[in-house]
Amino acid sequence: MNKIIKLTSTILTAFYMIACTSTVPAIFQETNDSLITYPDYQNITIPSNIMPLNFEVLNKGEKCIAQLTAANGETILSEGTNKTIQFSEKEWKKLLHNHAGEQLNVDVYLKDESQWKHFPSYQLIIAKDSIDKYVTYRWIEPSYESTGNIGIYQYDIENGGLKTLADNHLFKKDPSLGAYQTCMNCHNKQRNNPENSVFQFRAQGGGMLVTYNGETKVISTKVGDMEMPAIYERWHPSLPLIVFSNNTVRQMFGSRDPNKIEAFDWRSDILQYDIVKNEISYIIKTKGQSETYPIWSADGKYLYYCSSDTLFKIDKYKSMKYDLMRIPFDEQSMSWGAPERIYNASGNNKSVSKPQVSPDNQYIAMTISEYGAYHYTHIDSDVYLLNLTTHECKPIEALNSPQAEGYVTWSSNGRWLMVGSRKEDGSYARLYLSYFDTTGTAHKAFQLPHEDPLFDKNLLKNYNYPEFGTVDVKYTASDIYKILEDNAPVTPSFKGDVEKTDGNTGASIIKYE
Amino acid sequence: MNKKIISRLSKVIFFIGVVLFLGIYNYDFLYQVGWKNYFLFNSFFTQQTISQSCGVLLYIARFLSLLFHYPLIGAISVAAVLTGMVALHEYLFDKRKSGFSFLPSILLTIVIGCGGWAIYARFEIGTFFALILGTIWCLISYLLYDKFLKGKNMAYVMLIVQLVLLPVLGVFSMLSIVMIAVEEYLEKKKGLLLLCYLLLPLGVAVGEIYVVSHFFYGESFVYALRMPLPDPYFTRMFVCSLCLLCCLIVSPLIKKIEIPVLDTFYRKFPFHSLVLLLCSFVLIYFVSFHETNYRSLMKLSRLCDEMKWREIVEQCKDIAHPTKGINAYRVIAQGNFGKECEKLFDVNMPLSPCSSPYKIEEIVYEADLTFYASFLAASYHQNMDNWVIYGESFRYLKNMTFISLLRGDDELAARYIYLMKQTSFLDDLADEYATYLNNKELLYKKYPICKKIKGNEVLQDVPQNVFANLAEYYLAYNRFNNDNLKRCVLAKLFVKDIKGALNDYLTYVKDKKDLYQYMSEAAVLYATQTNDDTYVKALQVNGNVVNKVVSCLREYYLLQQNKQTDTSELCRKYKGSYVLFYIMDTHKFQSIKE
Repeated sequence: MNKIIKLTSTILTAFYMIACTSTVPAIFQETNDSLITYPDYQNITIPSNIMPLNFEVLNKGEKCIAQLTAANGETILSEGTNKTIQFSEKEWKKLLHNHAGEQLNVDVYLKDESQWKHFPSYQLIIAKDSIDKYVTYRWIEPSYESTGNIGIYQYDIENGGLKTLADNHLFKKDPSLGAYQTCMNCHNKQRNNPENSVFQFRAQGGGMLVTYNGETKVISTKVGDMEMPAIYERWHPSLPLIVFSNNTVRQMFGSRDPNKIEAFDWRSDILQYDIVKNEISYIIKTKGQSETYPIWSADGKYLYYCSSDTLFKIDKYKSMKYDLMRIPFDEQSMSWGAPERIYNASGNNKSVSKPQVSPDNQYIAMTISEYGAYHYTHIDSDVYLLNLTTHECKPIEALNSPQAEGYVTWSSNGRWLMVGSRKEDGSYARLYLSYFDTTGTAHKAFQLPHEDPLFDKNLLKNYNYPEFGTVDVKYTASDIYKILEDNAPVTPSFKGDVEKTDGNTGASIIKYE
Repeated sequence: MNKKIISRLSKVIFFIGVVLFLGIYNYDFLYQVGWKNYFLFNSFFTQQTISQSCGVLLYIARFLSLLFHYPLIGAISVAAVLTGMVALHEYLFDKRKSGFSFLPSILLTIVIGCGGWAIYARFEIGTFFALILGTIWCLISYLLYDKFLKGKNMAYVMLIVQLVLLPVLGVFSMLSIVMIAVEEYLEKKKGLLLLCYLLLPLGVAVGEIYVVSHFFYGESFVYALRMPLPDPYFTRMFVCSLCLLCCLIVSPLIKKIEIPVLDTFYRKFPFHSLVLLLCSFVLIYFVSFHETNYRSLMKLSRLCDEMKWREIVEQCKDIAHPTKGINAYRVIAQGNFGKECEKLFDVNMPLSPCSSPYKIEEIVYEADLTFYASFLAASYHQNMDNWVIYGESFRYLKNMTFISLLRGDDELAARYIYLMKQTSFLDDLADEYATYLNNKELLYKKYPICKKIKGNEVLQDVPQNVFANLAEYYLAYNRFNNDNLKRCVLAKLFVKDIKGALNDYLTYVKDKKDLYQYMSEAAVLYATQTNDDTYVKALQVNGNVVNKVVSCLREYYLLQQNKQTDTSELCRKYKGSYVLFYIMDTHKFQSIKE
C-alpha cells in the first residue's frame, strides 16, 4: 500500500513539474506593437545587486511569458498569470551576478485570442557598480496630514524586505477625533551609514532622535529663541556634528493652483548640534533672509544651503527665490567662514532646493522651480546637475518629467541617483533610480521594484524624503517607542551669540573657540 | 398555544423587529456604513488588513459589510443571522426557553444601533460583523465541545486550536475557552482539562502582554487581546460589547442553574418571552443613538448623493432646530439651484444658534458643500483629509475620483478608478467613470449639474482656508452671469451683508423678480438700521412689507425687553420672511423701539 502511495505521489509530482515548467512558445507572430508595461523597465541600466524587476504587461492579451537571455545564452523565464511577470529571485540574482557589466535581452510573448505574439526585444544593461542595499523613506498621503498614518520605512533593494523604523501609530489617539497624531520625517545617516543617524518627530515630548556610537537619545531642539524644532538634519561626514534648519513652515491648498499644495517658510535659519558638547548654536541667523536645506560637501569642508529673501506677506510667497550658497567649515577649529553664492538662481528668476553633493564632490544634484523651496509639489520642478568645477548647471533629462520631481539623492558610490517623482499622476510620488556613469551622464530612470509589480499602483501614499543606506538600521519602531517612552528629551545648552554679520548676504556668522 | 409555537413566534417577531429597526428606522445609517466601508480584492489590501491583530476576522467582516450598500438586504442578512444565533443559543443553553437566548442578539443589535457618529471617526466598520462572527464562533465551539468532544482527549486539541486562532479571532478565541472552562467547572470535572482550560488562557494573556510590551509596539498590538471590540472611546458600543462577552460567559450557567420560582413563573406565563422581547425593542430604541438631527443629516447626505434636491428642501422644511450641516444641505439644494432660490429663507429656524454639539458633523457635509460651491480643489482635499484622518472608505475614494475627473486630472482619476475596479460594489461605477476619462462632454451629459459646477469655478487662485461656509464661497465668485449673481446676492443675504446684497441686486441682477421679496425686506431692514431709506425708495417697497418688517422687529424687541425665551409665536407669524432669518442669532442689530 505504501509503495502504491509513494509511486502515485512521485508520478503526480513529476506531472505537476512538467505541467508547470514554462517554455517560450514554439509558434508565435512577430509584432511591431510597442510593449507597454507597468512599471516601465525597458532599455535601462540596472545594478547587479537589485531584486527582480517584475512587471505587468498592459497590452491586450490573456497571458504572457518573458525571457531574459544573456550573451552566453543563459536564460531565465517567467510565465505571467494575469499578465504579471514575476521572476524567480534565485535565478534572477544568479543571472545578474554572472553577467555584471553585460547586457541582457528581454523577449516578451503575449497570448491574445489563442495566438502568441512576440514584441521587439529590449535590453537591460547590468552595471558593474552596485547600488546601496537599503532605501529609507517616509510614506505619507499627498495632503500631508500629520494625523494620518505616517511611517518611516527601510526597504531592501536586494530582496524587497520592508522594515518599519518609525510609525505614528505608536502614539496616543486624539480622543476628540479617534485619530492618530504626530508628524515625523527628516531622517539622515552619516555617509549613508545608519550606525550614526538622526530623525525628527514632533509628538509631545518629541525632538531629534540621535543615534551615535550605538546609543540613541532624544534631543529637544526647541531651545533658546528657536520658534520651531529642528528639521532637515544633516550629519557631518566624519564629525559628531549635525546641522539643521529651523523653519516656520506654512501649508496652503489653492483653489486653482496646478501645484495643488503649497508650502513656504515664514522664516528659517541654520543651526548646528554638537553631540559631544551637547550644544545647539546658530550657524546662520538673519532677519532679511531665509536659509534652509543645509547639506555637507562630501569632504565636510563646506556646508551648502539655499537662501532667499524672507517672506513678509503671505500672498508674496511666489517671490521667494532661493539661491545656492555655501559656507566654509574648518574641522580643526570648528569655525565657519564667510558665505558665498554658488548658483544664482534668482538671477534667472528661478529657485533652487534640496541640493545634494555627490560623494566625489564633483556635482550637486538639486531641484529648480519657479519659486520657493518646497518643490515636490511644483509641476515645473526638475532635477538639475551643477558641475562644481565648470559651474555649468543643466537639467538631468533622464530623471525629469512634465510633473514634479522632488527629493533627489546619491548612492554612497555616487553611481546611482534616486528621485521622488510624481510623473505617474501628478499627486502620488514614486521613487525612481538612475545610473550615473563616469562621464557624468544619467541613464533612463526606472521605478523602485517590488515583488508585486502592482504594489505602487495600489498604494495611495507618497514616497517622501528618500535616502540610501549601506547597512541595516539596527533599531526598529518598537525600540524607538521604548526610547520615547522611557527617556525624557535631553535639553542641550544653547549658544545664540552673534559675532559678526556678512556684508553681502546679511548672514550672521558665529565663530567658535 | 404551546411553548414551541411561542418560541417560534418570538423568533419571527425578533427577525421582523430587527429588520424594521435596522432596515427601515436605521436605513440611512446603514447606507452610510456601506459607504464608509472599504474592501478591495487585491493582495495588497488583503495583506494590509490581515496583518493587523484579529485581521482575518476583520477582513471577513469588512467583506460581509459590503451587504450594507443595500441597507435593506444588509438588515435582512443581519436579522437572519441574529435570529439563527438566538436559535443556536437556545438549543445550547436555554431549553426552558426563558428568553435569555435573545440577549446576545439584542446586545449586538444595540451595538449596531449605537454606531451614530462613530462611523465617521476612525472606527473599524468591520466591527459590527466581526462581533457577530465572533459570537457565532463561540457558540459553534461550544456546540462542538458539548456534543462531540466532552470528556475526550480531543478536547485538548480544541484548546490548542483556540489558542492558535487567537491572532485570528482575538477575544472570541479566549471567550470560547472560558465558556468551556465554565462548563467543565459546572460539570464538577476539576481535572487536568479544567486546569488547562483555566491556566492556559491566563498564561497566554500574560505571555502576550509581556511579548507586546517588550517586543512589539502600538495600540493595535497592545489591544490584540480585546480585538475586535470597539475602542472604549465609543463608550456605548464598548459597554454593550462587554455585556455581550459577559452574557456568553454566563450562558453555561443558565443551562445548569435551576431556579424553581422562575420555572413556575415560566409555566404560568408562557408569553413572558414575547413581553420580554417587546421590552427589549423599547430598550434597543432608547439605548441606540437616535438624535433627530443626526438622522436627518444622514438622510440629507444620502439624498445629496442621489441629487434629489427637491426632497432635500422638503425634508429641511420640517426640521425644527436645524444644525449647520442641515443648513448646508439646504443651501446646496436651494441656493445652488436657481429654481428653489425664492424659498431660501422659508424654513423653520430657531432663534437660538443652530449648532450641533457634535463637531464631527463637519465631516459629513463639508466636502459636499465645497463641491457644490464649485471649490473642487477644496472638496478634493477635504475628502483626502477625511481619508487620511478617519480612515479609507468607498465614499472618499468615489468622491476623489469624481472630483479628479471633473478637474480634468485624468491620470489621477485613472489611479482611483483602478482601485474602484477592485471592489465588488464600485466596479460598475468605475467602468462608468472610465468612460469619462478624456471625455468630459459625456460626463456633463450624464450629470448636467457638473457643467454648472465646473463653470462656476473661481478663476483666481484662492487659498481654501479663507472660506468658512458656502455663502462665503459664493462671495468669491468672479465669473458673473445672472444665475451666479442671484446666488451671490442670496449669499450676501445669508451672511447678513444686506448693503452688499442690495447694491449687487440693484446694479447687476437683470431679472429682479425672483428675489424681490427678500430684497424689499432687506431694504427696509437697512433703513431701520441706518436711517437711510435710499434702497426702500429705489425698490419702491410696498407699505405692507415695511409694516411687516417693522412689526417683526418691534415684537422681537419686546420679547427681548420682557426676557421671554419662547419665540415660537414670532417664528410662526413671520415664517419664511427674511427679517426673521436676519434677527436670528444676530447680536449686533439695532432693534426698533418706536
